Amino acid sequence: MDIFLQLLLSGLLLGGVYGLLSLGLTLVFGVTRIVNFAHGEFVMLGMYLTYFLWQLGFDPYLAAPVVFFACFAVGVVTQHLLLRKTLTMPHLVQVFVTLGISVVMQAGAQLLFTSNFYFVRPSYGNAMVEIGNIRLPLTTIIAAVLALIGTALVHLFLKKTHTGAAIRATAQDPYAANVVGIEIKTVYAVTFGVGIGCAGLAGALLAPIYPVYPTVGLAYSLISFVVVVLGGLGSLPGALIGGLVVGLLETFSAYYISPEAKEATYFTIFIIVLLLRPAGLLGLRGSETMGANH
Amino acid sequence: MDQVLLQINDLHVAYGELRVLQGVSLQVKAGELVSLLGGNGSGKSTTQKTILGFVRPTSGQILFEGERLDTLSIPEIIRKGITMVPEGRRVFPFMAVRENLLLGAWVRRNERAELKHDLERVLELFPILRTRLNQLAGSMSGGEQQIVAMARALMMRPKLVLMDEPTMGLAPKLVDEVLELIQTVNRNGIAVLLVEQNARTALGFTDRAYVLERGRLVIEGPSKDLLTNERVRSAYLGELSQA
Repeated sequence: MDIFLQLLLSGLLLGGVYGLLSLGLTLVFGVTRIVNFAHGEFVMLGMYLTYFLWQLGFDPYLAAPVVFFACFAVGVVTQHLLLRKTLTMPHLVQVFVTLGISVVMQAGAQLLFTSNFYFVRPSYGNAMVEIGNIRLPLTTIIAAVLALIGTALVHLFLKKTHTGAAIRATAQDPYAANVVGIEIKTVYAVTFGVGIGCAGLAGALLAPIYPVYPTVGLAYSLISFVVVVLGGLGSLPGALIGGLVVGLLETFSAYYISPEAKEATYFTIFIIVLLLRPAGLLGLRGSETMGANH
Repeated sequence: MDQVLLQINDLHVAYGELRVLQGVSLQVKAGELVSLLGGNGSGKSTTQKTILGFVRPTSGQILFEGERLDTLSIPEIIRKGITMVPEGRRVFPFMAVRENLLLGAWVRRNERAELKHDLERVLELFPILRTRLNQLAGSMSGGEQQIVAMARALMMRPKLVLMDEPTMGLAPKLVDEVLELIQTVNRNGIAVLLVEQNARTALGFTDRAYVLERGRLVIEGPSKDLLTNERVRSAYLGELSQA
C-alpha cells in the first residue's frame, strides 16, 4: 500500500511538471497551428539558463520566473524572425523550420557548453519530505507546486486579460478576430512567447532534478507530444490531464514492469487512445483535423 | 443634403496577377441601405474587405467622411466607424455571447464604463440575446448566431456596417427575420453596405444598389429601378428577357 501511494504521489508530482511542459506546446498549436518540433530544445534552454543563474548564486527556484520571461522573449523573437513568414505556407514548411531550430539549438549547446552533463545542486537538493511512510524528494514537490502555479497563471492570463481573450478568439476563428480588429500577428508572437516561456519554466523546475546536456530536449519533446495528443490537441485542460496520466504511467510502469519499459508503456497507451479517441481525452470529436477548441 | 459617408473612387485591387477590382467607384450616404450585387467572383466581398483594410488597393481611393482610409490599419478603420458582419457569421464558438459582443468592441477595450453602456444599447436592439448572454455562441442556431454577429458589429457604435451575405445558408423564414434585423439596424441611423447573392431579396428592401461583374460596376441606381431593369432581370432575377 505504501509503495502504491508512494508511486501515485511521485507520478502526480511528475505529471504536474509534464502538464506545464505540454501546456506550451498545445497552446502554440491551438492558436498558431504550428507543431513546434523544437519545444524540447526550449526546455533545454531553460535548464541551461537555470544552471548558469545558479552558478551566479541564484536559487534555482528564484531563477525560475527570470527564466520564464527570458524564454518568453526568446519565443517572441523566434516567432518574429523565423515563423511569421511561414504562417501562410504549407505545414511542411513549418515542420522543417521548427526542426531546423531544434538542430541549431542542439548543435549550439554542444558548441558552447560541450556535451558534458551539468547538475544544478542547491544545498537542499537531496532533502526528503516524509509523510507517514512515504518519502518524496523536496525538489520534486517544489517543482510540482510551482508547475501547477504556472499552469494556473497561464489559465488566468488567458481567461481574465484582454490579451488572453484575443488569443482565445484567434484560436477559435482568426478571420473573425481580424474582423473585430485584433492584431493577430501580435497574438501569434505573444502566444509563441508564452508557449516557449512554459517550456523554459518547466526546464527551470526540472534542472534541480535531472542533469542538463545538449540533447536533453529530445526526451521532453517526445513526452510533451504524447501528453498533448493524449489530452487533446489544442486543449489546455487536456494538457494537465494528459501530463498527469503520463506521469503516473511513467512511475508505475518503471516500478512494476521495469525502468526501461516506461516509454514503451506510455506509447502503447498513446496508440490505444489514438485508435479509440483520435481527438484525445478532452479534445472535441473531429478536433484532430480541425485543431484547437478551447 | 444627405451627407456622403463612404466614397470610393476608381478602386483597383489585384491578388498577384489576378485583377479582382477594376475601377470601382461607389458611394454610401449616412443612414443609407445600399446593396452590392453580383455573381460569384464578381468582387463584392473583395470590395468590402478592401474598405475594412484587409486588402490594400493597387490604386484608387477610399474616403470615409472625407478622410483617406486606404492607408490605415484595420483597427484604425474600425475606430473611424466601420465594422463588418462577415460571411458565415463567424462568431467565436467557444465563447459566451457576452464575450463575443465585448470582443466586437475590442479596439475600445479599455473604455470599461462605456462598454457596459454599449452592451446595454445593443441588447435593447436585440432583446433575444439578453437571456442568452452566458450561452456559448457555438451552441446556437444559425439564425441566432447571425444575430450575435450583427450585435457584435454594433458594439463599436459604427456609422457604417458592412454585411457579407447575411442570409446565406438560412432557412427562408429566418431570411425574413434577418432582413428585418438589418432594417432595425438601419433605422437606428446606421448605414449598411450589404453584399448579397440573392438580388431579389436585396433589391426588395435597399435604397440603392450597385451591380458588379468581373470587378467592374455595370449597373447602379435606386433599387426599385433595378428591379425593372432588363439586364438585371435576365441576369440576376432569373426572368426571361422580353427583348
